[in-house]
Amino acid sequence: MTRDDGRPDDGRPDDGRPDDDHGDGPPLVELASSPSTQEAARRLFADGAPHGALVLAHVQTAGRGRRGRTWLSGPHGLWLSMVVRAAMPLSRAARLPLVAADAVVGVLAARGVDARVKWPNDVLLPAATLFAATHATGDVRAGALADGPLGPYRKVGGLLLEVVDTMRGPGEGVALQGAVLGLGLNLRAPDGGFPDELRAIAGCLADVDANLVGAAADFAAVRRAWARALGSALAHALPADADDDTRFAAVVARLRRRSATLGRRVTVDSVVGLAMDIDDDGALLVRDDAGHVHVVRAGDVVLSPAAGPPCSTTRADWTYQAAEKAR
Amino acid sequence: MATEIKAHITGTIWKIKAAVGDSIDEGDTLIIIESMKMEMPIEAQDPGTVKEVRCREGQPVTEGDVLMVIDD
Repeated sequence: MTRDDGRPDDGRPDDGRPDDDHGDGPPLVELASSPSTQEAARRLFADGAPHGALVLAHVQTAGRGRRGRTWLSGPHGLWLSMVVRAAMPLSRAARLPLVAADAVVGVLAARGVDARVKWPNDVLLPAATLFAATHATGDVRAGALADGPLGPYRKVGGLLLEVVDTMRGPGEGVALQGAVLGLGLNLRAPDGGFPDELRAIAGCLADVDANLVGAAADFAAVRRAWARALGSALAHALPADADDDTRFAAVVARLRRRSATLGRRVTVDSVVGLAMDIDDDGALLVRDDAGHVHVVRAGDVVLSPAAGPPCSTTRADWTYQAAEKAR
Repeated sequence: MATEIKAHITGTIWKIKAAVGDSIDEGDTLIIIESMKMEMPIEAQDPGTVKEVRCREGQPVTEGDVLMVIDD
């Protein structure tokens, strides 16, 4: 593996200068190693980098996911963060994580990958689409396709949006000015496979089709190409798809079709019930066993291994408590 | 004079970064709210001392809820 400039990769962080093969697009900073691309993107933001500027790391030494959780970030994946410059009310900015998920699954779909979204923006693969090349011979790792903690899915990617700049508007309103969006995507499995505790949870694109990640010798170029494609899609989708109600309605419609959550029994913090729908603002609607519908805007969504019972209730029939929160 | 720190957005309290009695400076992060997997810090607008914390981590909150009171 080499740096962009062809020097041997000594594992030390690059100097952070943007590469120069991007034409007129936003800059891409490629690092051999970084504690966290989110932190590097924050520095880019502070330095005035434009919307869409990217940080790509071959390895993260302190990669993090939601709520500060550790994210396994070895050389097998794509660890990417993007500078987001967007001026909009925070209430509308909460749509951005869903818009990002829609953009990512759109890029994957264009390459033949049938990805799904676990609300709000975990990117999953149906286990049945993995190891297709070896299905016929039965040469599949034991348990690789069995239902796990995510039911019949495996997590291939995740997104995290961190607000870094806001502005107080008239009255008490607060508007978003900037954020950093992080994306982790498992292109290949780590050497030796995923750790035991992740085997029934994690998946990678190479297990869908090895051609998606290229040969080992090409991996650095393939990873960069994925970064460019995903970065371009995200920079186009954010913030426009969140700021326009018609465009966001189309995003929600696509997410409903590609949802790994809807129709399943879920637990979200203290709420247990059937994931019924995603509302017009992107919140998850969960109907508990008493028939109350909870409007969920945050929390850990845990999928039950089995799908929920058939849903015969229409939205109009619900004991709908629009203002109810998942207290 | 006391200043109320309010939720800017409906979501869940992920992290409370200041405790009663803490001295804070302008720009210090007081609380981080999560909404739809977007993490949003609430920062102090002025220096002061934390007088009350009216939320707990993991608590769902609505935009406008008072989360903290600061003595200027």
